[in-house]
Amino acid sequence: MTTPPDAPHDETALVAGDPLAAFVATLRAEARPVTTAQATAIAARARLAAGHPGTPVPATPADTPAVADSTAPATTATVTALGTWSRRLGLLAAAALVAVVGVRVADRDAPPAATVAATNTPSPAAIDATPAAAPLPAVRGTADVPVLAADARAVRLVLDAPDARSVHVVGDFNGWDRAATALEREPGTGRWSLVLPLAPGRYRYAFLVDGTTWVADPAHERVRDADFGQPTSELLVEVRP
Amino acid sequence: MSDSRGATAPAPDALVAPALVARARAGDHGAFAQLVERLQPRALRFAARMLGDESRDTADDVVQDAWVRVLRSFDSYDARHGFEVWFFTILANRCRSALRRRGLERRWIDRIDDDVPEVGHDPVRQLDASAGTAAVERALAALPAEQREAFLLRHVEQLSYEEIAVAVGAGVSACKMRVKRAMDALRAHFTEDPQ
Repeated sequence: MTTPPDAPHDETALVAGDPLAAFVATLRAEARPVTTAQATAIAARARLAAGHPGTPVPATPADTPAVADSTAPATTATVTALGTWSRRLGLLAAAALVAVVGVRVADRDAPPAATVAATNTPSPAAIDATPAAAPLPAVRGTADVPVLAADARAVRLVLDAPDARSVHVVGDFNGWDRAATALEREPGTGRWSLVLPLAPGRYRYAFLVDGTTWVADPAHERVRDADFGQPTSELLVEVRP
Repeated sequence: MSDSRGATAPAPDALVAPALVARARAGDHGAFAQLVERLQPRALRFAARMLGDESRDTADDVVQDAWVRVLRSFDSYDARHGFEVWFFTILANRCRSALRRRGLERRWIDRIDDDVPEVGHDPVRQLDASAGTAAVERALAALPAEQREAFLLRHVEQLSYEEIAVAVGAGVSACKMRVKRAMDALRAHFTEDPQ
Protein backbone atom coordinates (compact mmCIF):
# COMPACT_ATOMS: atom_id res chain seq x y z
CA MET A 1 0.00 0.00 0.00
CA THR A 2 1.39 3.37 -0.88
CA THR A 3 0.41 6.87 -0.03
CA PRO A 4 0.04 9.26 -2.92
CA PRO A 5 2.04 12.43 -2.66
CA ASP A 6 0.60 15.60 -1.24
CA ALA A 7 2.19 17.53 -4.03
CA PRO A 8 4.12 16.65 -7.17
CA HIS A 9 7.42 16.87 -5.31
CA ASP A 10 6.42 15.68 -1.90
CA GLU A 11 9.56 14.37 -0.27
CA THR A 12 7.59 12.32 2.19
CA ALA A 13 5.57 10.34 -0.31
CA LEU A 14 5.92 6.59 -0.41
CA VAL A 15 6.20 4.95 -3.77
CA ALA A 16 5.87 1.40 -4.97
CA GLY A 17 9.04 -0.58 -4.44
CA ASP A 18 10.14 1.59 -1.54
CA PRO A 19 11.08 -0.78 1.29
CA LEU A 20 9.65 1.74 3.68
CA ALA A 21 6.28 1.40 1.95
CA ALA A 22 6.31 -2.30 2.71
CA PHE A 23 7.13 -1.55 6.33
CA VAL A 24 4.28 0.94 6.50
CA ALA A 25 1.94 -1.69 5.12
CA THR A 26 3.02 -3.96 7.96
CA LEU A 27 2.25 -1.26 10.47
CA ARG A 28 -1.15 -0.61 8.97
CA ALA A 29 -1.96 -4.30 9.21
CA GLU A 30 -1.58 -4.13 12.98
CA ALA A 31 -5.08 -2.73 13.34
CA ARG A 32 -7.28 -5.47 14.73
CA PRO A 33 -11.05 -5.12 14.52
CA VAL A 34 -13.01 -5.15 17.73
CA THR A 35 -16.35 -6.81 18.03
CA THR A 36 -19.52 -4.91 18.71
CA ALA A 37 -19.62 -6.45 22.17
CA GLN A 38 -16.09 -5.33 22.88
CA ALA A 39 -16.82 -1.83 21.65
CA THR A 40 -19.95 -1.68 23.76
CA ALA A 41 -17.97 -2.68 26.83
CA ILE A 42 -15.27 -0.11 26.13
CA ALA A 43 -17.92 2.57 25.63
CA ALA A 44 -19.65 1.61 28.87
CA ARG A 45 -16.43 1.81 30.83
CA ALA A 46 -15.71 5.21 29.32
CA ARG A 47 -19.18 6.47 30.23
CA LEU A 48 -18.73 5.26 33.77
CA ALA A 49 -15.34 6.90 34.12
CA ALA A 50 -16.64 10.10 32.59
CA GLY A 51 -19.57 10.21 34.94
CA HIS A 52 -22.09 9.41 32.23
CA PRO A 53 -23.46 6.03 33.29
CA GLY A 54 -26.96 4.76 32.89
CA THR A 55 -29.45 5.44 30.19
CA PRO A 56 -28.85 8.28 27.78
CA VAL A 57 -27.53 11.12 29.81
CA PRO A 58 -26.66 14.45 28.30
CA ALA A 59 -23.13 15.58 28.81
CA THR A 60 -22.71 16.93 32.30
CA PRO A 61 -21.84 20.61 32.04
CA ALA A 62 -19.26 20.41 34.76
CA ASP A 63 -17.49 17.60 32.96
CA THR A 64 -17.45 19.14 29.56
CA PRO A 65 -14.69 21.62 28.96
CA ALA A 66 -16.27 24.54 27.24
CA VAL A 67 -14.76 27.18 25.11
CA ALA A 68 -14.48 30.24 27.26
CA ASP A 69 -17.29 32.63 26.56
CA SER A 70 -16.98 36.17 27.75
CA THR A 71 -20.72 36.60 27.44
CA ALA A 72 -21.51 33.87 29.92
CA PRO A 73 -22.29 34.94 33.44
CA ALA A 74 -19.20 34.66 35.54
CA THR A 75 -21.11 33.05 38.35
CA THR A 76 -22.21 30.22 36.12
CA ALA A 77 -18.70 29.44 35.09
CA THR A 78 -17.49 29.63 38.63
CA VAL A 79 -20.13 27.35 39.99
CA THR A 80 -19.52 24.90 37.19
CA ALA A 81 -15.84 24.83 37.79
CA LEU A 82 -16.23 24.55 41.52
CA GLY A 83 -18.52 21.63 41.00
CA THR A 84 -15.86 19.94 38.96
CA TRP A 85 -13.24 20.59 41.55
CA SER A 86 -15.28 19.46 44.45
CA ARG A 87 -16.16 16.19 42.80
CA ARG A 88 -12.79 15.45 41.31
CA LEU A 89 -10.64 16.48 44.16
CA GLY A 90 -12.72 16.43 47.26
CA LEU A 91 -10.05 18.77 48.44
CA LEU A 92 -11.39 22.19 47.74
CA ALA A 93 -11.82 22.90 51.41
CA ALA A 94 -8.28 21.86 52.08
CA ALA A 95 -7.05 24.01 49.28
CA ALA A 96 -8.98 27.00 50.52
CA LEU A 97 -6.30 27.74 53.03
CA VAL A 98 -3.31 28.21 50.89
CA ALA A 99 0.20 29.09 51.74
CA VAL A 100 2.39 31.23 49.63
CA VAL A 101 3.12 29.82 46.27
CA GLY A 102 6.57 30.15 44.92
CA VAL A 103 6.60 30.10 41.19
CA ARG A 104 9.67 30.08 39.11
CA VAL A 105 9.56 30.04 35.38
CA ALA A 106 12.59 29.17 33.37
CA ASP A 107 13.10 30.36 29.89
CA ARG A 108 15.84 29.72 27.42
CA ASP A 109 14.26 29.89 24.02
CA ALA A 110 13.26 32.27 21.34
CA PRO A 111 10.13 34.40 21.69
CA PRO A 112 6.82 33.19 20.32
CA ALA A 113 5.96 33.60 16.68
CA ALA A 114 5.01 37.07 15.57
CA THR A 115 1.40 36.15 15.09
CA VAL A 116 1.27 35.06 18.66
CA ALA A 117 3.21 37.94 20.07
CA ALA A 118 0.81 40.34 18.40
CA THR A 119 -2.05 39.13 20.49
CA ASN A 120 -0.29 38.32 23.72
CA THR A 121 1.18 41.15 25.65
CA PRO A 122 3.36 40.00 28.48
CA SER A 123 1.58 40.42 31.74
CA PRO A 124 3.46 41.15 34.94
CA ALA A 125 0.83 39.17 36.76
CA ALA A 126 0.97 36.14 34.56
CA ILE A 127 1.48 33.91 37.54
CA ASP A 128 0.57 35.33 40.87
CA ALA A 129 1.55 34.14 44.24
CA THR A 130 -1.43 33.85 46.50
CA PRO A 131 -1.03 35.50 49.88
CA ALA A 132 -0.62 33.24 52.82
CA ALA A 133 -3.83 32.01 54.38
CA ALA A 134 -5.91 33.70 51.73
CA PRO A 135 -9.00 31.85 50.63
CA LEU A 136 -8.69 30.06 47.36
CA PRO A 137 -9.99 32.39 44.70
CA ALA A 138 -12.94 31.25 42.72
CA VAL A 139 -11.79 28.91 40.02
CA ARG A 140 -12.58 30.53 36.75
CA GLY A 141 -13.18 28.77 33.52
CA THR A 142 -13.47 25.05 33.41
CA ALA A 143 -10.89 22.76 34.77
CA ASP A 144 -10.15 19.08 34.69
CA VAL A 145 -7.06 18.41 36.68
CA PRO A 146 -6.02 15.14 38.23
CA VAL A 147 -6.16 14.52 41.93
CA LEU A 148 -4.07 16.87 43.96
CA ALA A 149 -2.46 16.53 47.30
CA ALA A 150 -4.09 18.13 50.29
CA ASP A 151 -1.39 20.76 50.29
CA ALA A 152 -2.49 22.15 46.96
CA ARG A 153 -1.64 25.78 46.31
CA ALA A 154 -3.47 28.32 44.24
CA VAL A 155 -1.66 29.36 41.10
CA ARG A 156 -3.13 32.04 38.87
CA LEU A 157 -2.38 31.87 35.18
CA VAL A 158 -3.02 34.90 33.02
CA LEU A 159 -2.71 35.52 29.33
CA ASP A 160 -3.45 38.77 27.54
CA ALA A 161 -5.02 37.69 24.28
CA PRO A 162 -7.65 40.25 23.26
CA ASP A 163 -8.30 38.68 19.88
CA ALA A 164 -8.60 35.13 21.10
CA ARG A 165 -11.87 33.26 20.98
CA SER A 166 -10.71 30.73 23.54
CA VAL A 167 -7.68 30.06 25.67
CA HIS A 168 -6.88 26.77 27.31
CA VAL A 169 -3.92 25.70 29.34
CA VAL A 170 -2.27 22.36 28.70
CA GLY A 171 0.30 20.93 31.02
CA ASP A 172 1.53 18.18 33.22
CA PHE A 173 -1.32 18.90 35.62
CA ASN A 174 -4.05 18.02 33.14
CA GLY A 175 -2.38 15.44 30.98
CA TRP A 176 -1.79 17.95 28.20
CA ASP A 177 -5.43 17.71 27.34
CA ARG A 178 -6.26 20.50 24.96
CA ALA A 179 -9.87 20.71 25.96
CA ALA A 180 -9.70 20.10 29.67
CA THR A 181 -8.81 23.42 31.23
CA ALA A 182 -10.15 26.68 29.87
CA LEU A 183 -9.21 30.16 30.96
CA GLU A 184 -12.00 32.68 31.25
CA ARG A 185 -11.94 36.11 29.70
CA GLU A 186 -12.09 38.79 32.34
CA PRO A 187 -15.08 40.99 31.56
CA GLY A 188 -14.26 44.12 29.61
CA THR A 189 -10.65 43.19 29.04
CA GLY A 190 -8.54 41.08 26.72
CA ARG A 191 -7.17 39.20 29.65
CA TRP A 192 -7.84 35.52 30.21
CA SER A 193 -7.21 33.99 33.57
CA LEU A 194 -7.58 30.87 35.61
CA VAL A 195 -6.71 29.86 39.13
CA LEU A 196 -5.44 26.33 39.53
CA PRO A 197 -4.91 24.54 42.79
CA LEU A 198 -1.65 22.71 42.25
CA ALA A 199 0.23 20.45 44.57
CA PRO A 200 3.86 21.37 45.18
CA GLY A 201 5.94 20.21 42.29
CA ARG A 202 7.37 21.17 38.95
CA TYR A 203 5.03 21.56 36.04
CA ARG A 204 5.44 22.25 32.37
CA TYR A 205 2.61 23.97 30.64
CA ALA A 206 1.60 26.14 27.73
CA PHE A 207 -1.41 28.07 26.56
CA LEU A 208 -3.46 26.97 23.60
CA VAL A 209 -5.12 29.90 21.84
CA ASP A 210 -8.20 29.22 19.75
CA GLY A 211 -7.50 25.54 19.99
CA THR A 212 -4.61 25.62 17.59
CA THR A 213 -1.89 28.07 18.54
CA TRP A 214 0.53 26.80 21.14
CA VAL A 215 1.92 29.67 23.23
CA ALA A 216 4.40 29.61 26.04
CA ASP A 217 3.60 32.00 28.83
CA PRO A 218 4.73 35.25 27.19
CA ALA A 219 5.41 36.95 30.50
CA HIS A 220 8.08 34.46 31.29
CA GLU A 221 10.88 32.63 29.70
CA ARG A 222 10.28 29.37 28.01
CA VAL A 223 11.77 25.94 28.01
CA ARG A 224 11.75 23.85 24.93
CA ASP A 225 9.93 20.63 25.34
CA ALA A 226 12.40 17.83 24.85
CA ASP A 227 9.90 15.43 23.40
CA PHE A 228 7.73 17.48 21.13
CA GLY A 229 9.59 20.68 20.43
CA GLN A 230 6.77 22.98 21.45
CA PRO A 231 7.40 26.21 23.33
CA THR A 232 6.62 25.42 26.91
CA SER A 233 6.87 27.18 30.22
CA GLU A 234 7.84 25.62 33.46
CA LEU A 235 6.66 26.51 36.90
CA LEU A 236 7.67 25.29 40.28
CA VAL A 237 5.08 25.25 43.02
CA GLU A 238 6.78 25.06 46.34
CA VAL A 239 5.77 25.45 49.94
CA ARG A 240 7.23 28.44 51.63
CA PRO A 241 8.31 27.56 55.17
CA MET B 1 -10.07 19.05 4.34
CA SER B 2 -6.98 18.28 2.42
CA ASP B 3 -6.89 16.07 -0.61
CA SER B 4 -3.61 14.60 0.48
CA ARG B 5 -5.18 11.57 2.08
CA GLY B 6 -4.21 8.33 0.48
CA ALA B 7 -6.40 7.34 -2.40
CA THR B 8 -7.12 3.98 -0.84
CA ALA B 9 -8.07 5.45 2.50
CA PRO B 10 -11.63 6.58 3.07
CA ALA B 11 -12.30 10.16 4.01
CA PRO B 12 -13.00 10.72 7.71
CA ASP B 13 -16.68 11.20 7.18
CA ALA B 14 -16.85 7.86 5.44
CA LEU B 15 -15.52 6.33 8.62
CA VAL B 16 -17.40 8.46 11.07
CA ALA B 17 -20.47 10.16 9.72
CA PRO B 18 -21.33 13.52 11.28
CA ALA B 19 -24.80 12.22 12.05
CA LEU B 20 -23.30 9.41 14.10
CA VAL B 21 -21.17 11.89 16.03
CA ALA B 22 -24.20 14.09 16.61
CA ARG B 23 -26.14 11.15 18.02
CA ALA B 24 -23.26 10.21 20.28
CA ARG B 25 -22.97 13.80 21.50
CA ALA B 26 -26.67 13.78 22.28
CA GLY B 27 -26.17 10.83 24.60
CA ASP B 28 -26.99 7.92 22.30
CA HIS B 29 -25.04 5.04 23.82
CA GLY B 30 -25.30 2.92 20.72
CA ALA B 31 -23.88 5.67 18.56
CA PHE B 32 -20.99 6.15 20.94
CA ALA B 33 -20.29 2.43 20.88
CA GLN B 34 -20.22 2.59 17.09
CA LEU B 35 -17.65 5.36 17.27
CA VAL B 36 -15.57 3.15 19.50
CA GLU B 37 -15.95 0.16 17.21
CA ARG B 38 -14.85 2.13 14.18
CA LEU B 39 -11.86 3.90 15.68
CA GLN B 40 -10.64 1.51 18.36
CA PRO B 41 -8.49 -0.62 16.01
CA ARG B 42 -6.64 2.40 14.70
CA ALA B 43 -6.43 3.94 18.14
CA LEU B 44 -4.79 0.85 19.60
CA ARG B 45 -2.46 0.59 16.65
CA PHE B 46 -1.34 4.17 17.09
CA ALA B 47 -1.04 4.07 20.88
CA ALA B 48 0.86 0.78 20.86
CA ARG B 49 3.43 2.20 18.50
CA MET B 50 3.67 5.47 20.35
CA LEU B 51 4.09 3.88 23.76
CA GLY B 52 5.72 0.54 23.14
CA ASP B 53 4.67 -2.44 25.18
CA GLU B 54 6.87 -1.75 28.18
CA SER B 55 4.60 0.99 29.35
CA ARG B 56 2.83 1.11 32.66
CA ASP B 57 0.26 2.98 30.66
CA THR B 58 -0.60 0.29 28.23
CA ALA B 59 -2.05 1.20 24.90
CA ASP B 60 -5.36 -0.13 26.10
CA ASP B 61 -5.37 2.13 29.11
CA VAL B 62 -4.43 5.20 27.15
CA VAL B 63 -7.04 4.57 24.47
CA GLN B 64 -9.65 3.94 27.13
CA ASP B 65 -8.75 7.24 28.73
CA ALA B 66 -9.04 8.94 25.36
CA TRP B 67 -12.64 7.76 25.09
CA VAL B 68 -13.33 9.16 28.54
CA ARG B 69 -11.94 12.48 27.39
CA VAL B 70 -14.10 12.34 24.32
CA LEU B 71 -17.19 12.07 26.47
CA ARG B 72 -16.10 14.83 28.78
CA SER B 73 -15.20 17.13 25.93
CA PHE B 74 -18.01 16.48 23.52
CA ASP B 75 -19.44 19.94 24.11
CA SER B 76 -16.31 21.52 22.73
CA TYR B 77 -16.07 19.17 19.75
CA ASP B 78 -14.78 21.05 16.75
CA ALA B 79 -16.37 19.54 13.66
CA ARG B 80 -14.29 21.48 11.17
CA HIS B 81 -11.81 18.68 10.73
CA GLY B 82 -14.06 15.76 11.45
CA PHE B 83 -14.32 13.45 14.41
CA GLU B 84 -11.38 11.33 13.37
CA VAL B 85 -8.96 14.25 13.61
CA TRP B 86 -10.49 15.45 16.86
CA PHE B 87 -10.18 11.99 18.33
CA PHE B 88 -6.57 11.59 17.27
CA THR B 89 -5.85 14.99 18.78
CA ILE B 90 -7.09 13.71 22.11
CA LEU B 91 -5.36 10.36 21.73
CA ALA B 92 -2.06 11.93 20.77
CA ASN B 93 -2.32 14.10 23.86
CA ARG B 94 -2.92 11.08 26.02
CA CYS B 95 0.08 9.33 24.52
CA ARG B 96 2.24 12.39 25.10
CA SER B 97 1.09 12.60 28.64
CA ALA B 98 1.86 8.94 29.23
CA LEU B 99 5.30 9.32 27.74
CA ARG B 100 6.06 12.33 29.84
CA ARG B 101 4.59 10.99 33.02
CA ARG B 102 6.38 7.71 32.98
CA GLY B 103 9.56 8.69 31.29
CA LEU B 104 8.53 5.84 29.10
CA GLU B 105 10.34 6.83 25.99
CA ARG B 106 13.72 6.85 27.60
CA ARG B 107 13.15 3.45 29.17
CA TRP B 108 11.82 2.07 25.93
CA ILE B 109 14.81 3.24 23.96
CA ASP B 110 17.17 1.93 26.58
CA ARG B 111 15.53 -1.43 26.42
CA ILE B 112 15.49 -1.82 22.70
CA ASP B 113 19.12 -0.83 22.49
CA ASP B 114 19.88 -4.06 24.25
CA ASP B 115 17.21 -6.34 23.00
CA VAL B 116 15.07 -7.00 19.99
CA PRO B 117 11.42 -6.59 20.94
CA GLU B 118 9.62 -9.81 21.61
CA VAL B 119 6.94 -10.32 19.04
CA GLY B 120 3.92 -12.44 18.49
CA HIS B 121 2.42 -12.46 21.98
CA ASP B 122 0.31 -9.37 21.62
CA PRO B 123 -2.33 -9.13 18.91
CA VAL B 124 -1.78 -5.41 18.71
CA ARG B 125 1.84 -5.93 17.98
CA GLN B 126 1.91 -8.88 15.65
CA LEU B 127 5.11 -7.85 14.02
CA ASP B 128 7.04 -9.10 11.10
CA ALA B 129 9.92 -10.75 12.87
CA SER B 130 12.29 -10.70 9.97
CA ALA B 131 15.64 -9.25 10.84
CA GLY B 132 15.24 -6.35 8.44
CA THR B 133 11.89 -5.37 9.81
CA ALA B 134 13.09 -5.79 13.36
CA ALA B 135 15.81 -3.24 12.75
CA VAL B 136 13.30 -0.74 11.47
CA GLU B 137 10.99 -1.57 14.35
CA ARG B 138 13.75 -0.54 16.70
CA ALA B 139 14.42 2.55 14.68
CA LEU B 140 10.76 3.52 14.80
CA ALA B 141 10.65 3.09 18.56
CA ALA B 142 13.84 5.07 18.93
CA LEU B 143 12.63 8.05 16.93
CA PRO B 144 12.01 11.26 18.83
CA ALA B 145 8.41 11.11 19.94
CA GLU B 146 7.31 14.02 17.78
CA GLN B 147 8.76 12.35 14.68
CA ARG B 148 7.25 8.99 15.48
CA GLU B 149 3.93 10.67 16.13
CA ALA B 150 3.96 12.56 12.84
CA PHE B 151 5.14 9.54 10.87
CA LEU B 152 2.43 7.30 12.28
CA LEU B 153 -0.30 9.86 11.75
CA ARG B 154 0.78 10.49 8.18
CA HIS B 155 1.65 7.10 6.81
CA VAL B 156 -0.14 4.66 9.07
CA GLU B 157 -3.25 6.60 10.03
CA GLN B 158 -3.14 8.42 6.71
CA LEU B 159 -4.09 11.84 7.94
CA SER B 160 -3.30 14.78 5.73
CA TYR B 161 -0.63 17.21 6.82
CA GLU B 162 -3.29 19.78 7.53
CA GLU B 163 -5.02 17.30 9.80
CA ILE B 164 -1.77 16.32 11.48
CA ALA B 165 -1.03 19.98 12.12
CA VAL B 166 -4.35 20.27 13.93
CA ALA B 167 -3.81 17.06 15.86
CA VAL B 168 -0.33 17.86 17.13
CA GLY B 169 -0.60 21.63 17.33
CA ALA B 170 2.26 22.36 14.98
CA GLY B 171 2.55 23.95 11.58
CA VAL B 172 2.19 22.00 8.37
CA SER B 173 5.81 22.61 7.45
CA ALA B 174 6.99 21.40 10.82
CA CYS B 175 4.90 18.27 10.46
CA LYS B 176 6.33 17.56 7.04
CA MET B 177 9.82 18.03 8.39
CA ARG B 178 9.15 15.60 11.22
CA VAL B 179 7.86 13.00 8.81
CA LYS B 180 10.79 13.54 6.48
CA ARG B 181 13.30 13.11 9.29
CA ALA B 182 11.52 10.01 10.51
CA MET B 183 11.58 8.49 7.05
CA ASP B 184 15.24 9.29 6.62
CA ALA B 185 16.04 7.62 9.92
CA LEU B 186 14.01 4.55 9.08
CA ARG B 187 15.47 4.23 5.62
CA ALA B 188 18.96 4.35 7.08
CA HIS B 189 18.15 1.21 9.01
CA PHE B 190 16.95 -0.56 5.88
CA THR B 191 20.26 0.28 4.36
CA GLU B 192 22.18 -0.92 7.38
CA ASP B 193 20.29 -4.19 7.64
CA PRO B 194 19.23 -5.36 4.20
CA GLN B 195 18.02 -8.79 5.31
